[in-house]
Amino acid sequence: MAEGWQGEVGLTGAVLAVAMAVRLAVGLHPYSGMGNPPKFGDYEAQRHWMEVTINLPAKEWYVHTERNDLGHWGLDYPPMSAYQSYAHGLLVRAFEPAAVELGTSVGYETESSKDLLRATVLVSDLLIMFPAVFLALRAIYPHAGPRRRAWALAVALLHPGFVLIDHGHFQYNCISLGLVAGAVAAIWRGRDLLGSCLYVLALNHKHMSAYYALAFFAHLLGAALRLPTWRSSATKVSALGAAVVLTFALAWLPFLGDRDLALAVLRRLVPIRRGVFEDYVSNFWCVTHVAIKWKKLLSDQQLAKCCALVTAAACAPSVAHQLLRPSRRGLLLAALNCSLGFYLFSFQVHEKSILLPCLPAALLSLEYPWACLHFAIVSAFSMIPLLQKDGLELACAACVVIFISAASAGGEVLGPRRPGREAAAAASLTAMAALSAVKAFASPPERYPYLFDLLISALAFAHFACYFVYWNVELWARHSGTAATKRD
Amino acid sequence: MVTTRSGRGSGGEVGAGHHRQVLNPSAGALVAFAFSLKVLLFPAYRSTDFEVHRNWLATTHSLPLSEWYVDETSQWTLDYPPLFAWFEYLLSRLAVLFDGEMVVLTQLGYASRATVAFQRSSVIATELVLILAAYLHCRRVSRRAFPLLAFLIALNPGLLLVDHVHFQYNGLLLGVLMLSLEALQRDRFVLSAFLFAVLVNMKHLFAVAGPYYLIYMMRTYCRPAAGFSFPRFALLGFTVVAVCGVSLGPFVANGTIGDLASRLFPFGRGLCHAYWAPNFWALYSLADKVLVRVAGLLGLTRGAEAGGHLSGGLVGVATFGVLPQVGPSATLAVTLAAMAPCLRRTWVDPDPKRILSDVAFVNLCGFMFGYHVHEKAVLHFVVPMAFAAAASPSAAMEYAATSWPAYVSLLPLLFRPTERALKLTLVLAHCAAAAAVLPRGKRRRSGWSAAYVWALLAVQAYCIAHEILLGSSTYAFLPLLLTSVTCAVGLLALFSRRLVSYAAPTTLK
Repeated sequence: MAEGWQGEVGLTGAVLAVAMAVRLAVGLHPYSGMGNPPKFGDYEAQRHWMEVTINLPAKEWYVHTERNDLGHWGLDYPPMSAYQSYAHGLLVRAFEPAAVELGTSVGYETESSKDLLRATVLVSDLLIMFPAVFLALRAIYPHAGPRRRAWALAVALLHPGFVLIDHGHFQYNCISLGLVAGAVAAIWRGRDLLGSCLYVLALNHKHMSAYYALAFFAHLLGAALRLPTWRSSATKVSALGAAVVLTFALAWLPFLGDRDLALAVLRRLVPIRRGVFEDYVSNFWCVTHVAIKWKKLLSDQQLAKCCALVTAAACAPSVAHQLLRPSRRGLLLAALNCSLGFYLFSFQVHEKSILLPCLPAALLSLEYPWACLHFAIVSAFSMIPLLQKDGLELACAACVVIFISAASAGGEVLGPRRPGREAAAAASLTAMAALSAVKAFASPPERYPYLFDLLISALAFAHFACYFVYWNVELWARHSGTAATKRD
Repeated sequence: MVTTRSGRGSGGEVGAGHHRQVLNPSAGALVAFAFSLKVLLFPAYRSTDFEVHRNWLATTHSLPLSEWYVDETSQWTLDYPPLFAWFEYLLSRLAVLFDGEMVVLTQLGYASRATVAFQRSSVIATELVLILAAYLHCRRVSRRAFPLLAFLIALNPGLLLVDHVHFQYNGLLLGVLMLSLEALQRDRFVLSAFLFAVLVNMKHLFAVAGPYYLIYMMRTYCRPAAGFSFPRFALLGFTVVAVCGVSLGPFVANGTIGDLASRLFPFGRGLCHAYWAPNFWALYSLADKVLVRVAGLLGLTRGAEAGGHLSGGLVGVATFGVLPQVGPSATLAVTLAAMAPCLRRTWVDPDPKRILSDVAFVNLCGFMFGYHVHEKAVLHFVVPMAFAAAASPSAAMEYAATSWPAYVSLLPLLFRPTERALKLTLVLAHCAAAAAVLPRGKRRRSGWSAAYVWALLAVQAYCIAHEILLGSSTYAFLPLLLTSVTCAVGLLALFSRRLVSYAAPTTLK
C-alpha cells in the first residue's frame, strides 16, 4: 500500500470521513418527538432555546415572562448551553428565519429546518468532539503509532451512543463531552489550569458533567498536594481555584449583576423533583425497584439523601485513590468509575447519562480494548427503549454493526485469540441481540407492558455493575505504588 | 511513559502478520460496514425509480403475462426486458409477506415503512451477487486483494448513490455481468455466454458489450488455432437463442412483442438526457450552444433558437442550431467506430488478462457516444475497472483517475439539500481513499491529471456555493452544465488515452 495511506493524516482523514458519513446518514432518521405535538421532544427543546436566546435579552432567558413560557421546554441547562443556542440560533435565522421566530415557531418542523438543526450538531461535533478526542488520544498514547491511534479514534467517534443520541435523538452532548476530552488532553500534557477551565466550561454546558467532578477534583488536588514543598502546593491549589472561579464567573457573567437572577438560573438547573428515576434506566434503583418499592418506602427527600450517600460511597475508592496516588491514567479510570457510580446510584438519572462513562471508556480503548468495546455496545443496548420511542431502532442496529466492524479492524490491539473471552462476548452479544429483537418485534404480555424494557434494564445493569467492580479493582491493582504510575 | 499493553510503539506494527495489522479491515468487516451504512440510507431521498419498481412489482404480481408490456395504469410502465420482469415477479412473491398493499396495481406512489424497507433491502440483498463475483475474482487473481476490491465495490459511491439512495438494481445487474466475465476469464465460454444473454435480457443497455463478446469468443472459442469449429459456434448460438427464446418467446406467442419492443427502445427521448450525461454529446451540445450564440452575434441567425433550452429538465428530442442533427443510427455507428481498435486488437491478440479493462473500455465507448445515455451508466465501466484494479497497478491507476469524473458526475442525481453533505462525503472520500490506497504503477501520475482533479473540485465548490447562495431559481442549469462539461472533458481524455493505446499496439508487449 502507498505510504500516504499509512501516515497519520491519511488515516485520520479516512476515520473522520467515515465518522462524518455515518453521522449524516443517521441524521436522515427521525429525531425525538418528531411530528408529535404539543410537547414534541428534545429537538423542539433545542430549537426553542435558539428561539428564546436570539430574541430575548439574557436576563429573560431563565425567567418566566409573558414572552418566555418556561412551561414549554424552558431553558434548564447552564449558561454555556444558552450561548451555544444563541450562536446556533443566529445561524439558523440566517437561512430560515421562520424556524426561530419568537412565539410563532413553537413546534416548527420543516425538511429544511431539520437539515439546518442537524447541521448545527454536526458542526459542533466536528469543531469540538473530533479534535478533542484526537488530541486526547495523542496525549494519552504518544507511542502507540498512528494506526493504533486512528483505530482508537474510529471506535471513539463511531460509538453508537454518541452518534445516535446527538445525530438521531437530537442533543449536543458532543460539546460537553468534547470539552471534557479536551480537559483530559490538557491535564495529560501537564496543563492543569487549562484542563480545569475546559472542565468547568463542560460543566457549564451540561451540568450532568458533574458526574466527573469528584474524579477531576481528587486528581488535581492529589497532584497538587504531592508537589515537593508546602508552598508550591498552596500556590497550585489557589491557582486552580482561581481558574475555576474565574471560568465560572465568565460563564455566568450576564447573570451575576442581579442576585435574584443568578439564583433563578440556579433553580432552573436543579431538577424539579421528578422522582428517583424515570422510565427504565439500567441503574441500581430502577432495577431493584422490582423487588423493593423504593418510591413507596421512602419519600423523595429521603431517597435523594440515600442516593447521595450510596453514590458517595461508590465514588469513594476512586477519589481516595486519586487523592493518595494521583496518576494520569488513574484519572481516566477514576472519571470512568465516578461517572458510572453516579449513573448507577445517583438520584434522577436519565438513560442518556450512560454517555458520560462512555467517554473515559472510549479514551481507554487501547488499554482495555475488549472491555471498552463491549461497554460501548452495552451502553447502546441500554438505550434501546428510548431509541425505539424515537423510531431509531433500525439506525441503532446499523450503528452497532458499524461499530463492531470498525472495532474488528483492531488487529493486534485486540490481542491474541482467547476462546473463553470470545465465547463470553458472543454470549453477551447474543443475549442483547435476542432481547432487542424481542423488544422490536414482539408485543409484551398485557399484564406487564414494560416487561421487555425492564429485562433490557436488568441485563444492561448486570453488565454495568460488573464493569464498575472490574474497573475499580483495575484502578487499585494496576495503578498503585510503583514509580511507573506516578505522575510524570 | 505510557505504552499500550500489547507491544510498544510503532515497532509492533511491522512484525505483525498482514491480517493482524491495525486498521487493515477484513473484507467481511468492510461488507458488514457497507451493509449497515446502506441500511442507514433507508430514509434517504428516493427518485421516481422507486415507484417505477414498486409499480413493476404490482404489474408482474397482478397481471397476466400478456398485459405486462401493455398495461398503462401507472405512467411508470415496464421498460426492462422480460427476465428483469420475472425478477420483479419473484420479488413480488416475497413482497406480499411484508405489505400486501405494495403489489396492488392502483396503489400509485405507495411507500409505507415496510414497503421502503422491503424494496431497499432487496437492493442490498441482490447486490451480494456482485460481492460474490468480486470474491470469485479475487480467489482466482489474488486473495489478498479481496479487502481492497470489497472496499471498491461495497463502498462504491456510484452504487451507494444510484442504487441505495436514488434506487435501482445496478448491483445485481453488474453482478451478473461480472460473473459472466469471470466465467469468460476461466475459459467457461458457454456459461459466460449464457450469463451475458441473461443479463441483456434483464437490461438491454448491457448489449453494448455484445460486439466484444462476439469477437472474443469467435477468436478464442470457435477458432482457437486453425480452422473454424462449427459445433462450438452452434453451441454458443444455441445458448444465446435459448435464453432469448425463454425470455421473449412468451411475448411473441401472446402477440405483445411489438409493445415490448416499443417500450424497450423509446427513441423519441432524444440524444441527451435532461441532465447531460458527461459524454461526447454533452460537449457537442455545448459547442452547438456556443456556435448558436456566435452566429447570433454575427447576425447569421436563421431560426437557430430551436435549441434554446439548456439542461432544462424536459425530455424531448433536442435539435441542434448549427451542428448536424444526430440520430440513433449515427450514434450507433460512432460507438462501433470507437470500439473498433479495441475489437481489432482483441481479434489479433486475445488475452484473458485484458478482458476486464477491454470490457470497461467498450462500455465506456457506449457511454461516450450512445443515444440518450444516463449519467448512471458510468457504473457500467467503473465497476469492471474496479475489478481490474484489484489485480494490476496500471489498471488501479486508471480506476483512481476515472473515479473522479465518473462519481462527481453523479452528484446532481441527488438534488435535495438534505443529502448534499452526505453525497459529497461519500464521493470525495472514496475518490481520495482510492487514490491513496490503490497500488501505483511505475508510471508517475501526470501533472495534468492532478491539475484536472483540482479543477474538478474547484468547479464543484462553485456549484455548491451556487446552490446554497442562489438557490435553485437563478441560473439553475449552470451547476449542472459545469458539472457535466468538466466531467465529460475528464472522461473524454481517459477515453482518448485508451484509444491511442489500442491504435498503437507496439507500446504494449
